[in-house]
Amino acid sequence: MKDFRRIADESMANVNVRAELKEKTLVKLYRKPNTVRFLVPALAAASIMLILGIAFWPESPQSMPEDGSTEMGIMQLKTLSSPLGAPEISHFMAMDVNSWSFVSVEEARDAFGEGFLTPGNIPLGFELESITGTGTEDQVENVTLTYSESASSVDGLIRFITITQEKVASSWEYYGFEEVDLLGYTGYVSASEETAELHFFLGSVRYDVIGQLQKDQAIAIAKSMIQSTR
Amino acid sequence: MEKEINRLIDLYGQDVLRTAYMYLKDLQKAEDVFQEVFIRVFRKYETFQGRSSEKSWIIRITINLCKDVLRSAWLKRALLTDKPVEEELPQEGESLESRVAQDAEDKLLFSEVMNLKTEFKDVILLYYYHGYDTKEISEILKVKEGTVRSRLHRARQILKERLEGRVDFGDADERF
Repeated sequence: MKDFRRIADESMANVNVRAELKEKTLVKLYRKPNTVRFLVPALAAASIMLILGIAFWPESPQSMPEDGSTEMGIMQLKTLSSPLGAPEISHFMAMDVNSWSFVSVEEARDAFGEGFLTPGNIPLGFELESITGTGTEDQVENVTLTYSESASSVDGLIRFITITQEKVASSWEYYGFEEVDLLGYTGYVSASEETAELHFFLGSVRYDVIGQLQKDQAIAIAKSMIQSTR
Repeated sequence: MEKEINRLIDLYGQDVLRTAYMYLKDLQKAEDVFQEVFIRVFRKYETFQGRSSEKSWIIRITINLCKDVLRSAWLKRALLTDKPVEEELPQEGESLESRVAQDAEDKLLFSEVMNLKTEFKDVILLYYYHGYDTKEISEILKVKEGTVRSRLHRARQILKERLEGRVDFGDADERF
């Protein structure tokens, strides 16, 4: 297996970038309209909707980070947390990107579709901080709920719990993890004194509960997610 | 920009094309993906801020595009048969028998990797073909590093089972 690169390259000896392929690609590049042309009106429309949202909404909407961050070259989207038309804006703008930020659990559920579970047993003191998703094109493949402590602990650190739900083609076992029963489903847990990581599968979705919490707390969260399906 | 795209195609084009081929098992489709990858790279190059390597970014786009293509039901039907690859003659000093036996083993391994489910193929190709470590793979696939390790472990188990232990992963690889 250490020689896999060589083996694969030998097996693909006839798979090469031909000069015509490169030429064809370059020709296409300069024929194809740059998406910036589409993004400008899109952003303008989004801005107008945001302004309308602020104008018609008495309270200030949730603050939106303006870091304009990109990750690995793919545009990171922060959906506009306007109470007016937010899902439409996020859907509209998410056409050619693969990262989303949702303003509510309901919005994330709608975007993710079947299999989305809402945790009902979050440890005391933790509050939902953000809901993000990633995927390809307009298909949300995974959603992560991030909870943080509402007040810093005695050691001055703010603790986090992340709950990720990801669509998968099949389930697998977690090597080296302890198997636990989660209301009839198998969970895989690994915990230290301060952190715990738990994974389980339901249908074609994998769920991860990871954070600065106790093993029992992670199990309780997972069970509450499964319980929500009954 | 044209100069830059030329550079990127020269540097990473072969990796893009072969990665796409390993997912799609069809040269024509791999070439279509190749073109689309560099069109996207061209369109998004200005948003690339160097938080990962250029290669990681381009390979990630490639993998995502291949997955999109694989989702298409008509293509899944079209991919039922693999195209044969050209045979190579044995090198000087190498017996035909041993070369044939080694070739058969290599082709079997390559074929089994090509037939892995996507989530396992992802990690095997990124780890063994592109040489990324588990942290880099977790960034490319946007999954936890622990998940990458588990998938690598499971993928190796599957390959070992299918190849009846004939595959050597090396001691260092058994960490996961």
